[in-house]
Parts: sequence; C-alpha cells; structure tokens
Amino acid sequence: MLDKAVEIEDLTVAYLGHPALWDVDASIPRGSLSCILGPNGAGKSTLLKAALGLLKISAGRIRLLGQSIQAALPLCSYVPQRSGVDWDFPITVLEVARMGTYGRLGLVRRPGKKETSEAMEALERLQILELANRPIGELSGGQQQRCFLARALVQNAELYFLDEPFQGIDAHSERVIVEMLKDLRSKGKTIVVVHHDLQTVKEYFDYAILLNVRLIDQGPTSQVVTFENLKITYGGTLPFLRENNHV
Amino acid sequence: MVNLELLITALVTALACSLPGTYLVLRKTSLMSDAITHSVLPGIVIGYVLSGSVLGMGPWLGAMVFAMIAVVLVEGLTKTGRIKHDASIGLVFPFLFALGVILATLFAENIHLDTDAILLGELAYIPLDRISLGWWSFPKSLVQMSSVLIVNLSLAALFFKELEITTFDPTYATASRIPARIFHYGLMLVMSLTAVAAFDAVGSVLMVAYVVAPSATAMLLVHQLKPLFFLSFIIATVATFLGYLIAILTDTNIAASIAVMLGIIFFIALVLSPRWGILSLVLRKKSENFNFDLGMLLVHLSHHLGSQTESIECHCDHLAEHMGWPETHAQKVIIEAKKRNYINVEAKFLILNDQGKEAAKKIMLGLWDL
Amino acid sequence: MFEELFSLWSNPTFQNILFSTTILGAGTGALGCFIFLRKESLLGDTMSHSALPGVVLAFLLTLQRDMLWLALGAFVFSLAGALIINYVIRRTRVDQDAAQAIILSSFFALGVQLLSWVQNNVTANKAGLTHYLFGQAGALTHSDLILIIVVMSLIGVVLILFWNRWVLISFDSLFGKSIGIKTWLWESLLMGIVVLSIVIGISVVGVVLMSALLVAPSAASRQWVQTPKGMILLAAVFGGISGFLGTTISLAQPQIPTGPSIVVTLSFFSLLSLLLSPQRGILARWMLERTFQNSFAQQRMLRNMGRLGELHHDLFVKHKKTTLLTMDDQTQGPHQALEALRLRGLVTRTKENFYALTQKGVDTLKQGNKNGQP
Repeated sequence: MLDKAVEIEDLTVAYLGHPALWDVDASIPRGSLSCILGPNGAGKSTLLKAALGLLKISAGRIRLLGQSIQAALPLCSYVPQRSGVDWDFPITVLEVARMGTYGRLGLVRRPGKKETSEAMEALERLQILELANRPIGELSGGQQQRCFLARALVQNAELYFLDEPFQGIDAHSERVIVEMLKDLRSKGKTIVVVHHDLQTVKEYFDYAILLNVRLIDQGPTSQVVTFENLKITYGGTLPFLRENNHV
Repeated sequence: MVNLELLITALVTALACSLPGTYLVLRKTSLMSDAITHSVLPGIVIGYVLSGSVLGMGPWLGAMVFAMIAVVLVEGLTKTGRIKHDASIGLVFPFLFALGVILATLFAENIHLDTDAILLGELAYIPLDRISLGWWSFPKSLVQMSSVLIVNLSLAALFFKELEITTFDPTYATASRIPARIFHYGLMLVMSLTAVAAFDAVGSVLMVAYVVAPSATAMLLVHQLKPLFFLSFIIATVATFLGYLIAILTDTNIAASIAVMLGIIFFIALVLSPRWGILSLVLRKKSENFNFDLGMLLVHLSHHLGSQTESIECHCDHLAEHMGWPETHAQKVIIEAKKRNYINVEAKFLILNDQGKEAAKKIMLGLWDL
Repeated sequence: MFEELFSLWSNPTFQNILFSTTILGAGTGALGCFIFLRKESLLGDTMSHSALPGVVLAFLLTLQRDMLWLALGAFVFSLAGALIINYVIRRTRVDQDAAQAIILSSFFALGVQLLSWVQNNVTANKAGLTHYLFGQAGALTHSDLILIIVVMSLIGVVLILFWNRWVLISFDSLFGKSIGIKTWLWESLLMGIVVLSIVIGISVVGVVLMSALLVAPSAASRQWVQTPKGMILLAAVFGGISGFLGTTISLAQPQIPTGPSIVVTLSFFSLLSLLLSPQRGILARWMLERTFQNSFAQQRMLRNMGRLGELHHDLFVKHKKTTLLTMDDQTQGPHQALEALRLRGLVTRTKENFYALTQKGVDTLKQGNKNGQP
C-alpha cells in the first residue's frame, strides 16, 4: 500500500460527452521522479488537477499517500503552470516563496521570522536569493519558475506535483530545478511532473506515464519510453470514443 | 463653513471603500462595484414597499439582497461560457436598474426618488440625519460607515494572507486548502455591504470612484501590497480634502467634486509615474536614442581606424556633419563617450581606446551593452 | 386591448416616437455586436457616462438646448475618455476595468459638478438637462426625433457600405494589419460611430441604461447565430423589436417610463436566448449533460457487472443491488442506470434486489470491448 504515492483507479473526467480522461488506471511509486507524457489535450494537466481534487471527476477513485485527497493535501505541493498567474501582482520573490507556508499556518495566523527564513533558504537553494526583493513581474521565465519551486520547497511536502515546469525557461534554470528535484527524490520524496520535452525524459525521470485520454502505458522510463509506445501516444491512431455514447 | 462631520463621514467612507476596492482592482473586477451600485435599486424599492418606511432596515436589506443577486447573476452568466464577464455585467445591472426604476414609478410614487441624491448622495444632508448614542448624537451615515469600516479593517487584517494568495494564485491557494471560491464570494459580500452603506452616504458615483481610483493610482506608483493600501488611503484622504475645499469655493456638489479630484490625481500619477508615466516614457525614449547615437559613434570610429580617411573622419568637428547631428548634440555624445571611457580626445581627434574597441565589436554583433 | 393598441399605433405623434426608438434599438443593437466581439462591452457604459461634461459644457457655451451642439460636446468628451482609457490599458499595468471605472466616475462627476454650477449660476433655459441621466423619450421634440432617425440611418448606411472592414477589425485585426489595412483608422472610425450612437441613445434611455442597448442584443443573437452577418442582423432585429415593444408598453401605460421599459424588454430577450437557444443555450447544455451522465452511468454499471461476473467466472451471475450501487461512488444515478438497463433488456431483475446480465447485455459488453470502448 505505502509503496504507491498516487493510486488512480478507473478515472474518468468528461464534460458534455467530451472525454478529457477515460478509464485511467495508473499509479506512481513512492520516492520516484515520475513524468506524465502525452500530446496536447491528452489530459495531463487534467490528471494532475484531478489528483489534487481541483476539479470534478465523472468516475473513479484516487488515493494519495494511501489516504483520501483531502487528508493528503497538507502533505502535497502543487506547482501550477506559469501562465495562470497574474504577473502584475505587487509581490516580491520572497513573498511568493513565503506563500508556501500559508497552507500550514492555517487561517488567520501570520507568517513570522521562521517562515521568512525558510523562504530565504529555499530561494538560496534555487539560486535566486539575490532576487528576493524584486517584484516578480521583473523576472525572466526561468527565474519565475525557480521562484515557484522555492514556494513548493517551503511546503516541506512528501508529494510534489509540477505542471510543465520546464516550459520556456533557460538552460541554467532548468539545471538548477532538476538538481533540486533529484535532491528531493534522494530524500524519499515523490515528484510527479507533467513533461513536454521527449529529449530529456530518460535523463531526468525514472518512471513514466504515457497518456492520451486513456492510459497508454506506465512503468520505468527505460522500459516504457519506446518508439512504439511514443508512436501510439502521440500518433493519435486510436479512436478513443465513438460519436455514439451508447454501449 | 467647513462641516467637520461631513468631512469625517466622507473620509471614513473613502477608507472603508478602498479596502475591498484594492482587491477588486487587483482581481480586475473593478466594474462590479459600478454594477452593484446600480443593481440595488429594486431592492431598495421592494424593501421600502414591504417595510413601509424609507429609513430603517427594509431598504437596507433589500439593497443587500439585490447586490448579491447581481453578483450571483453575473458570475452565473459568465460561468456558462456563453458570454464574457464584462458583457454579463453590461447585461445584468441595466436590467436590474431598469426594473428598479419601473418598480419605483409604479409602487413608490409618493417617495421622491431624487435622482440626484441616488447618484450623488446628498453629502450636505449628512449632518441632518442623526442617531443618538448615549449622550451624543451622530450623523446616521457616519455611524453606519464607521461600522462598515471597522468590519472591513478587521477582515482585511485577519485574512490578509488568504486574500493575498487567493487573488494572486487561486488554483495554488485551493490546493493549499485555502478555498479560493469562498474568499471570492466573501469579498463580494463585503463589497456589497460597503457599497450599500456608501451609496447611502455619498451616492453611487463617488462610491465607485472611492473604490477604484485610489488603489489604481497607487498601483502606478508603488509595487508592493502593503504600501499599496497605505498609499491609496493617503490618496483618498487628499482627494477628499481638496475636493471638499473646491466644492465650497465654487459652490458645487461636494461628492462630484471629490470624484473629479480623484480623477485628476490619477491623471497626474499617470503623467508622472516613474515606470509607466507619460513623462518617464518620453524621457526613456530620449535616453534610448542617446545610447543609440553613442553606439553609432563608436562603430563609426572603429570603422575608420587606420584607414586613409582617418584624419578626417575621426576629427571632432567633422563628426556632426558626417552623422547628421546638430553640433550641440554631437558635443554631448562625445563628452559622454569620454566620460564612459570609450574614447580619448587628443587635439580634437577622437581615438578609440581598447574598451571602446570592445564595445564597438559587441555592438556590431548586436549586443548593445553600453 | 387590440383596439387600444391599434389606436396607439396609428397616432402620428406616437408613430414618430415608435419609429425613432425602433431604429435606435436596431442601430445600437447592430453596432453593439462589434463592441461585444472585441470584448469591450462596457465601453458603452463608460462612454455614456463620460459624455455628460461635454453636454453641459456645450450648453454653457451655446446657452441653448440644441441637440446638435449637445451631441457634439458629448462626442468630444466621450472620445477623450476612450483615448485615455486606451492609453492606460496599453501602457500601464492598470487594467481595463479599473481604467473604465475611473474615467466613468470622474468624467461623470465633472459633468455633475458643472451641472450644479450651472443650476446655481446660469439663468438660461436649462430644463431637461438632468434628463440625460434617465432619458426622457417623452420630452423629445419633433426635430430631436428626426435627428435620431437621420443619424441612425446614416450609421446603418456606413455599416453596410464598409461591412468588410468592420468585420475584419472585429474578428481578426491582426490579419487586417498584415494585409495592409490601416486598422487604427477603422477602429477609430468605429469608435466614433459608437460614440455618436451613444450620444443619441442617451437622450432616449439615459446614461445608466445605455450600455444595455449595445450589449443585450448582441449577447442574445450570439446564442442563435454564429456567422457575423447573421449575428448582426439578428441583433438589429432584437434591438428594433425591443425598442418597438418597450415604447408601446410605455405609451399604453404612461406611468412606465420608456427607457427602462425598452431595457427590460431587451433583457428578457437576452435571458431567454441564453436559456433556450438549442445549441448554445443553458437549457440545451444542461440536457446534454444529463443525457451524457445517464448513458455514462449505464455504461459503467454494465461494465462493473461484467467485471464482477468475470471474477465469479460466470457472466450471468446474480448481483445484489447494494453491491452494484457501491462499486462506483462517483457516478450519478446508479439506481436510474440499473432501471434503464433493465428497460433496454440488457439486464434482468431476478429476486427483489438481485440483478443479472442478460444475453443481450453480455453481447453488448463484448461488442463494446471489441470496439475499444469501456
């Protein structure tokens, strides 16, 4: 039981007959650096959001760290896509990082010195400490992503979910982030990443889930990320749902 | 002639409005305040009709109910995905307002729906409508508005980080077990409460101005959340004093005068803002152009280094003519180039030194780094 | 009742009013489509409010209530407001909403302040100036009505003449730029025309309600038609009918003011359209979602029974109802799904709470598996 960080059974997410995810049975081993691969519209982000209870599912069961989603949330950390954030917001890098403590502080309590120093440590690890007092709007893509990663670090979670963290960032930032993720794994944490770059999959990740509305395959990257599998996942050859919904 | 109570009431209203107002501006839903303020009309009429009095809780409750109806309708319509947020607002509030006007003319003939008062409040009447608390009597609006201010201040202070995180990154907030939706509706509820009280005190036009203008102006000048709040307080206060003064001097409507002043202050900030203001934009353009000319000078010098025409091309006086610059401008460029240690000037000849040569090389590769 | 209506409609004074409000509704409805598509729906509201200082200033300078001059003043100030808003949106991080709210309130307040100065200091005929707030269709003079008709007709002609341009800048201005069209010119022209119609419209429905004339018809027509031409035509129809109906109601029941009557009629059209449109309507979508959920629940139920059957090595084994209900806690309506399957002959009910697959049910399952379906 406890060797699986994420267990997904029979997951279907569909609106108005249009399936985003269909009958997905997947699991992610504890302590792995896993990735979710698939073309656009394959449901990768949907899978993440469903796992965190952020959207309504049509059918299926999800367990995180052996518990229900709500119970496991305090142990989870979520790094959403950069595009969803308001970059004009008047907030500094340090303040964003410190937000990672808000969940555990609970309602009303304010972040204090302890939280601030934790945030600064995280910024240090991501090598952006010198940007601590800059408004986030002034940062480059890679720096912004590292800021988000710092926020995630501060949460001290067991299970991390990252949505396309390497999209549109510079090489140095990518290196720093990958180092950090590998470091987390060495400490026994589980990391799940929606990834878009097939070139780096085998180098970064040890476990992969291939998704295109349905599960195509899952397993250690060396076994599963094969030419055949990728052709199926990205090739769009299977009719996934017929027009007529009736059995 | 300065009526202190009036002034204080206006100030309290300003402060009370700018609190939820700042969040509305940050969430880019400022116009909900305008929508709310127009949507309350049917509620006021119904409340009056049911309770039989213009004062008292009837109209107040009715207003609150319809404010929330407006919010729910707008959100509901937007969520269907059939129409966008601003179109939803543009549909809902005129409908509710029109409904209110019709209801008023049909059922509330006898109360004088003073249109001016609705839109502008009658600040001059504030001291006349009083409530007694203990020994003292206070203007009713002041009491109402102060209560709202206390509520707003407490909520803003208590839930500072929750509001911050749900405004900045609602998905992350929900994943951190801070429910973004609840805080959104909570904010709207507080906004409705504030709107109804402020509408009663200063009218709808000034209320919208108080909600939006101070924080939008502050956004042009500061880049952090807490300074944003403080600055918008200050702006609201200054505008209130100045507006009131001008209204007295010109014998015009007080609420209107303050709202105009808020607009003027916004405009001034627009011109002067260090980052986005019109002035700084112009200045920045000038410095960009100057830098460009500087680079051109260095490139020009490096081209003619060691050439046969060097003696002519690298001469101070020739420069202006060759580059097509006015004499004074050419002088400025040369001085700057010397100041930054790119060239040496010997007997009116401009000699590129090593640093200058490096810079010229970089420029020709497209790396402007002067 | 029809007699009354008929006499109403044949009264020449009323005919003038009816005609002008109808054409106003049609014109603003059509124009509103362009604004709606460019996501500037509340621009109408902002510009109507911004017009007020212009109106008052025009009055101050000419000391007359001549609609032409008032319209000119309104035009200048609306345009100024729109330009400022444009600058703020493009150059600063203050967003569209906030910029509109500030211009709206401060310009309007300026108008009010000027107005109160006028009321205290100027003796000329200023009656009716305040009707700019709520509109007063009844107070419009004959020449006013003629002006409305003329202006709206002109606008209609311009719309038709340069049809392609307007559609281009509303749907795909980037493309327009790329083929060398001076989009800024056409956008400014469009803005100008909108402001003109707003200025006219304010005299009928007033400042507050003006935005409805622009937004509601297009919101309504959007739900029925997808093509630009169709949408604009339908919007004009909605707007025109609302103008006609609203004015009729107001003329029949004089306590009901014209402006609000037109707006309420318009709102009904939009709300009904949003609800009832067959493809895009809320009702249609809700029904579609229900249908999907039902068939989805049935599929799941069937499949779950099949899986249970496989575990028992007997596809036709009887299952207790309670077991079946708890297998899938997320799907909705498991009871109804079971019933529906039974009615379709895919499942049979043996004793009270036991269900089993029929041959037909097993065949359907197998068929589904072959097709890669659940």
